[in-house]
Amino acid sequence: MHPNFMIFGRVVPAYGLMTAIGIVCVVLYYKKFAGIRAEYAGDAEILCVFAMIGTFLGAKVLYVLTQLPSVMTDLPSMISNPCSFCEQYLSAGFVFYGGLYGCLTAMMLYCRNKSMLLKEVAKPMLPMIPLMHGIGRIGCFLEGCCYGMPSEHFGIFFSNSPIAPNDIPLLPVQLWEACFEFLACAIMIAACRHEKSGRVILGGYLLSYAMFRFFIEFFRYDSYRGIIGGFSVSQYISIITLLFGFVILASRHTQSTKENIPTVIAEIVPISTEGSSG
Amino acid sequence: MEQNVLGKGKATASLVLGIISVVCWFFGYSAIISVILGVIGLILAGKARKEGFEGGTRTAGFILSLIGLIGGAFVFIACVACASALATSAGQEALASALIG
Repeated sequence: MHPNFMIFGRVVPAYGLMTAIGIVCVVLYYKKFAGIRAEYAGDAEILCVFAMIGTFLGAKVLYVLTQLPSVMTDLPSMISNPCSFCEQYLSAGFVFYGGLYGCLTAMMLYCRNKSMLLKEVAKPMLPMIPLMHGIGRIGCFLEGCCYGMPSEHFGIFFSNSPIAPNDIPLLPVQLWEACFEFLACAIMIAACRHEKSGRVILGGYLLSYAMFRFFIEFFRYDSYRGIIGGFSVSQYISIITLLFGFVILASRHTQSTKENIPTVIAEIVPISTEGSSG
Repeated sequence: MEQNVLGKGKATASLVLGIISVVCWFFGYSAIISVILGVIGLILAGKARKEGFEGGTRTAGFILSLIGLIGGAFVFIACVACASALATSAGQEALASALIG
C-alpha cells in the first residue's frame, strides 16, 4: 500500500513510523491521562521502558522460534556475514503474542512483591497493549504484511507492497484487527476509570483477543507465518491464551472468596458462642 | 535541598545519553546504539524522578532519550511477523495463477 514515507528527505519505513507513533501515544497517555499518582511517576516511567524491552525481546524470540529451521541453516553466516544475518533476522520480523507475553513478563518482574506497584502503575498500562498493537497493525497494512485472503468483493489492492501480492484484492484483516484493538483499548480504559480489578481487565482482554485472533486467522493468507496441522502457530497460541485468560479470571474469583472468609467466620462464631453458653 | 541534589547525577547522565542517542540516529546502522542509549537514558530519568529530582535537566534527558529511542525504531523495526525475504516473488506468482485458474 504505502510501505515507505519520505520525511525530511529520508526514507522512513511505514511500520517503523507507526511504531514510533505508537510509542508517543503510549507515553502521552501514561503521563497525562492514566491518573498515576505523583509518588509512582518515576516507577511508571521505568515500567514503560521495561515493558518496551520485554515486548521487543518477546516478539523477536517468538519470531526466531517460528523460523527456526531457516535460522539453523543460516547460522554459519552469523559469523561469516553478520550484517546480512542481522538484517534478515534482527531488523525485521516480530510476532505479537511473543511481544504480549514478553511485556507482561517484564511488568511482573518489575512489580514483583510490590502489590501497590501492580495496582497503581501496572494496571493503568494494560490498555496500552491493544493500543500499541492496533497502531502496529495499521503499519502492517501500509507495509502489506500479514495480508488476508483474496476476495473479489471485499478485497483491497496493494500496489507497492514488498510483501503482499500486488494487484490482487486481499481482505484487509490488518484493519479489522486494528479496529478490534482500538475498541478493546477504549473498554479497558473505561474499566480502569471504574476501578475494575487488573485481573478482570487483563483476563477479559486475553479471552476476547484469543477468540478474535483464532477466528481471524482463518482469513489470513500469509502462509510464511507457520502452519502446523491445518492451524497457524498463532491459533495454537490463541488456545493457550484463552486458557490463560480463564485462569486469570478464576484467580480473581478465588482471591475474592479468600477475602470474604473472615466475614463468614465472624458470622458463624457468635452462633457457636450462644449455643455453648446455654 | 538534599532531595534536589539526590537524583541530579542520574538526570544529568540521562541528558548526556539522550544527546548522544539522538546524534547516533543520523549515522545509519549506529541507530542501534541510539536504541540502547535511549533505553538507559529513560531508565536513569525515571530513577532520578523516583529520588525526587524534578528539574528541567531530567525532563530534557527523558525527552531526548525518547526521541533517540524512537529514531532507532524508525531504522530497525520494519514489520511485525514478516520476513520480506520469505515472501518470494515465486509465491506471488503461484497466488496469481491460482486466482486466474
